[in-house]
Amino acid sequence: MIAIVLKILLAAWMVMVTVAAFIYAPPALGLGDLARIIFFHVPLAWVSVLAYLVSMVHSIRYLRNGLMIEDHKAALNAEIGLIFTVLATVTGSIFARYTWGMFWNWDPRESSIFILLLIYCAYFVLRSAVEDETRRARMASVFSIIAFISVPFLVFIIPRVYATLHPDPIISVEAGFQMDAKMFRVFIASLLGFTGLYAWLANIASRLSALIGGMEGEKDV
Amino acid sequence: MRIEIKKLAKSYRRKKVLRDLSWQLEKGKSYVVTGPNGSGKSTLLRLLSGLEKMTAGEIVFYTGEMTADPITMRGSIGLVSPDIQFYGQLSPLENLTFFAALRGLNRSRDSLENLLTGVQLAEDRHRPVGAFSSGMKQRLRLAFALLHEPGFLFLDEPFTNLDRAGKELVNQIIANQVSRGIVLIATNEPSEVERFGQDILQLAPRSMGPG
Amino acid sequence: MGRIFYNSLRGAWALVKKDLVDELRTRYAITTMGLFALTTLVMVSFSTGIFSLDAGLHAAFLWIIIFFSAMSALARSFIKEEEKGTAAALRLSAPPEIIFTGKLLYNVLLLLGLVVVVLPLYLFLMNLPPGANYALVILLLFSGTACLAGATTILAAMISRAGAKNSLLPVIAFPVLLPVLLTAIRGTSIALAGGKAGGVSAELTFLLSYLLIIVTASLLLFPFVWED
Repeated sequence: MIAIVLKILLAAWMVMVTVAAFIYAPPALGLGDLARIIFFHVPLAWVSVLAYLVSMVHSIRYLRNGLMIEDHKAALNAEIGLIFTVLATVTGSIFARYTWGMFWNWDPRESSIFILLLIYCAYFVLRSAVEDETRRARMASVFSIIAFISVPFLVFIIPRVYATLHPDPIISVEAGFQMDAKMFRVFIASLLGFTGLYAWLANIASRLSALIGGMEGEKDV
Repeated sequence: MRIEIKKLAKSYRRKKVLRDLSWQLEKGKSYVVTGPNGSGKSTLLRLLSGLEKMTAGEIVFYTGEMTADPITMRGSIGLVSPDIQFYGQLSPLENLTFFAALRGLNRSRDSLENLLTGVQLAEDRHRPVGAFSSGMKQRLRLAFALLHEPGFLFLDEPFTNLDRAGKELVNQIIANQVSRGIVLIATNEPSEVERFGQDILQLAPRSMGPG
Repeated sequence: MGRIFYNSLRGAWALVKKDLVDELRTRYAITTMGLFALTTLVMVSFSTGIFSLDAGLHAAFLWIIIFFSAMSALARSFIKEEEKGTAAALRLSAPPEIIFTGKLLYNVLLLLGLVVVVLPLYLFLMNLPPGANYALVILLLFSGTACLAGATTILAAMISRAGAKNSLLPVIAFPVLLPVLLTAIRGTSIALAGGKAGGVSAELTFLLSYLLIIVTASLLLFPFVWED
């Protein structure tokens, strides 16, 4: 009962956010209506990273307790993450095209999301290369952790290596709240909405994992 | 000096190869594990050597100085198994020299040559192992297992591929080992079971051991 | 304690020697990496050799050649152990840490050899700008390749345990190595343009920290990959 109510709430929330993104929030200084994409792009990117973290936590748990269900969860969360990453990359690219004229620029943010995309892809390529279930779980888990370790290094050096074209000063949350109050509200609402969306999907993934485990006759050994 | 196996279980995916197996092995007796193909004899030996991890249960090694699991006891365990292969590009002497160094042993070249003489590989000690017959490879496996003078010796079908002299060699090795440590042999051959089985564990497919 | 450490090093070193001897007899890595490096180098030289390119481009070319040559052969040492069945004997003889260290050192040596071959050839075939700080270039090449070895050792082990081919290595290694490549290229480019040690100190520090962290993480995670 609660679940249904929550789902309806989530749906309503997302609809509101989407409408507000186009009508309620004013156009940004300098970028105008183009800035509206941040209501979608940034939350998508945020969820991509969140999904990866959750997936990695499950990977670590798998290595510690050897329960296959953790690996199922890791893989499913990674799938969710992959989808969100693709969406984030696409929305970012659209923004780039209409703001700076090029679909792709290798500026720090674009590069970071691209790396995340590469890591997800490598993760799934690795998984598909291993037939044995236990081995696959172990190799994928270890890769997940190793790849995660390289990310901070990337985030650290990319801004040094390339000048940024990303409109940080104007609308980045990290750079300080320079957003108009209304924009900010919609932005946070969108962030929450997308996180809620992810939580819902992750929950489905969790239940699916349990089902898969049950179907294949796995017992918690 | 003994090995205690408690409620050992091993399964791959859904296949349960070993279930609820308990056994105790002590110094001074020769042990045999037997059963049809696929009953888990090799798996048991691999679990005891630390080559594989058990799904459930416990394996504990007791020596005068310590109590430990198979992996920690690596330096005191010798395994002869058809799964073990050597470096074809290198000679048996080079192979043994390498493994001795890897184990952190301080064995002189002479002592390694003696070991090879002991398994009747002296003449071929400089030939690349890739050119060896299966009988010669089996002798090298024996040398490899004895390299570090292990207290615990596990032999998986040790008589395979050996001629009469080779089989006599294995008999010798088993006899020696019984007096200084523990030896466990996995075999299907009734004559071998008869000969060495002072204590026999019979495995059946998907079996429960003699509790 | 010291004795155990010494024996561990001896063990790792024995593994390195064994792999080196094996490599000298089969010449797998030498031919694969060598041919790969040569082919890419010839392509680059043939098409752009006569032009005066800027340091950044040279740095990029150098690292493209090194990276892909390395990827063509690095997974082989682990894959061969699994394919030939010698991995079992290794597992019985030494703890995973020693195996990892040995393979890591071997990979570092292989890549050092690659650099020793590629750099002079590159200088020979390409029209490098004068005034390059070669000491720094060499330092950066060695640091970068050490990082390549550091990360790929465990990845190669993963591929070998997966029963996959060497060709999987570049796919999974690239995202992990990207920070190294970007930094190394940038540092090399500064050095090629005649920069001083101070100018690349950030890059060198970066590479060193990466190496330390990735090797530590690999050492901790390697038992999960190596043991069953």
